[in-house]
Amino acid sequence: MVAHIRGPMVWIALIVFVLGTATQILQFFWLSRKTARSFAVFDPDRENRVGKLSLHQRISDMAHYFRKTVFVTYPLTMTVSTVFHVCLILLPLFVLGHNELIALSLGHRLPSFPERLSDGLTLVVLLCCSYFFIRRVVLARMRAISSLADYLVLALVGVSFLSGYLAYHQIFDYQSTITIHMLSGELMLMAIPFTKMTHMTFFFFNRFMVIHEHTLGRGERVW
Amino acid sequence: MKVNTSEIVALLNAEKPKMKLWLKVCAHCSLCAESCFLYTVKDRDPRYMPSYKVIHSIGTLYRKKRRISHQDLETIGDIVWNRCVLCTRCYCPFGIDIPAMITLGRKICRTQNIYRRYDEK
Repeated sequence: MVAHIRGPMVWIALIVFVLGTATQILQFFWLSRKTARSFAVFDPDRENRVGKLSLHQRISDMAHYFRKTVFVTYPLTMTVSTVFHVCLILLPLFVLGHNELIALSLGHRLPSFPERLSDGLTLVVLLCCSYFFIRRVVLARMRAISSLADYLVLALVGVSFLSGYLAYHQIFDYQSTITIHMLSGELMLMAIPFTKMTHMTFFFFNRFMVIHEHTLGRGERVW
Repeated sequence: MKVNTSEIVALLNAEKPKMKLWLKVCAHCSLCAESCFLYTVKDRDPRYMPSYKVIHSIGTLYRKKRRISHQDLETIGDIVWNRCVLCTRCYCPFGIDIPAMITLGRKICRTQNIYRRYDEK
């Protein structure tokens, strides 16, 4: 059982994640189409106006834009969310233990974070998870839309990072914690394209490629 | 009152891939709340939050499909006609087209004779 989780399951999880995500991306292009309209439709004068601005005025223009974003409406949640998501993606890629395994398996390694940094960032992720959990339980507007799936997804992320932390420090039985760590990590990878975690993929496509008022990129497509 | 479920299912199927995708992408984060002016003027009642409106209208329709009752449609009608004015100002961090979802809800309600009523409170 453990040998399976440590061996073939890793590859199965990776294949499911890659194929699932690729299908989602194809679905996006199938459901949307390119348009001749541009993002400028929401601020026709912007390009002309920004082109003539001095550096100081450009910064002021950006500050003005920033003041209208959700970072100002919910500063704490957005800060926690940004830190959480950056760590969630970077930490598994640059943690030393993972890179040792990649080196053993493929012969090549990615650069690694210092162990103390990885350790600290793991605690940061766990604190962020706690924040999201408390927010979901305490706020009425969160309770009104929360379902079991929301708690399960959060628990899956929390368990994979917590078990990694416990395994690294060899708290409790190492064999059990590392098995839980591998299993929860694999489940998380496989679940990304098929659950609410799919927002990982669609955030980039929806916000950068689809034309709407809050487009971050060029916005050349419509649904 | 009789519900024509075939008509509803046909409309739901026509938009299914896009709508189901948007329902799945919604992370239930509630960051859309403050972008709805009705939410702010109604003492921040969660029932006026854009994500709540979508989950409890289009979400319910896709979940129940043929099992949808007239009572369910009345509730959905109240959401899509009375709790949203389709001002299209709602913000979603994942770029979900919330107004398009509410529009589908209205379209379905219209087929079942559930409209915005101006002659009652």
